[in-house]
Amino acid sequence: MSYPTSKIKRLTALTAVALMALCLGWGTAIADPALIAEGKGIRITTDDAEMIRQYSEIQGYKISQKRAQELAVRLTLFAKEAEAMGLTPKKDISDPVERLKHLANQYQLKLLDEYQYPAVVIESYYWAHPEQFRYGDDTPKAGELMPLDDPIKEKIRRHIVDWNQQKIWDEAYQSLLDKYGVRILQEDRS
Amino acid sequence: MIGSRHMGKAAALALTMAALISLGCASVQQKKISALPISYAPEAGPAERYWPDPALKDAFEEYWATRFAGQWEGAWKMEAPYFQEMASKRRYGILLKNSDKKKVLDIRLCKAIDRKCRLYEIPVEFSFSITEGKTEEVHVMDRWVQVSGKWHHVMRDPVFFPGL
Repeated sequence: MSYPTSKIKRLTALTAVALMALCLGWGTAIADPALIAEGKGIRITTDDAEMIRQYSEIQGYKISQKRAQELAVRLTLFAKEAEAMGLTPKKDISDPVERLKHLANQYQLKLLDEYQYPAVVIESYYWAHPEQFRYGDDTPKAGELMPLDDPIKEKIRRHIVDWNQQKIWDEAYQSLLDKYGVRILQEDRS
Repeated sequence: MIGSRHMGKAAALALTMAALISLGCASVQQKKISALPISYAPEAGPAERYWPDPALKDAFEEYWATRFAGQWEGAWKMEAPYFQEMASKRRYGILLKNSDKKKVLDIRLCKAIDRKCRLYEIPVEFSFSITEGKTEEVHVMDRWVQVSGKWHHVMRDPVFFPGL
């Protein structure tokens, strides 16, 4: 028994299409990851973002591809700046995302520790909120205003810094984009 | 065809006119600022002894005139420096953007509270004209703080700016 010629032709065509589809898929799979951002000594790809996305998923929260890409750029820049400042990650961190996160975190904390405001900012807060700086009833100076000395100034600075921490980090991120000449090349809208 | 000299003259004339118009606007603005209908409650004492510092009177008048002129960015610049650092400017703009919609009939100053620590609190009763024959009264504790010799407004709005 033999197959009709038309059937053989159809089978050949189908096999060819299937093979082409396989080859295309394989080709895409092994292609270089796409570049998300690059700058002086910085090269962030979709692989870096994917690592962060997977890490987040393991931690129990899902993030979009777009958010993972944003985080990849932000964490990389903060970590790079941390290293430039001489900060080092804990030695026992082997996971690359953990390491990145730890370094970035150190940089963010250092930023808050060192962030300074003009004196008028601190002084205006102090004078506008005297109720927060009076001696307690159980002290000999009950009700009197505490002097605006260094510990009080630091307390106010810390309060304003904590209030503004996201703003401070966002400003730092923008200035690091400039410092390292980072160009964001691809934005995934998913 | 118009020569380049004529073009230059026309441009200079246009610029002069624009400058005159903006000067005119500035003087209108100035009129608005000096025309605040301020009055003093009987318990506030005589007007000439009300203000601890003439600079505070000037700052108060400028601030409220700016607000009622709808120029919230001008008012923002007069807020205390800590507030400008901590508050959202966008939110401030939303809060104040309709300040010029009501007609101010009276700004009545009540007896001020001197906290003896560069913080001066002025109870103010604002009277606004809402519609024909209808008025609205709003009571505000207006706070001012003096830093480095300059008076700044202290915005406290627990709804719009909780914690500040």
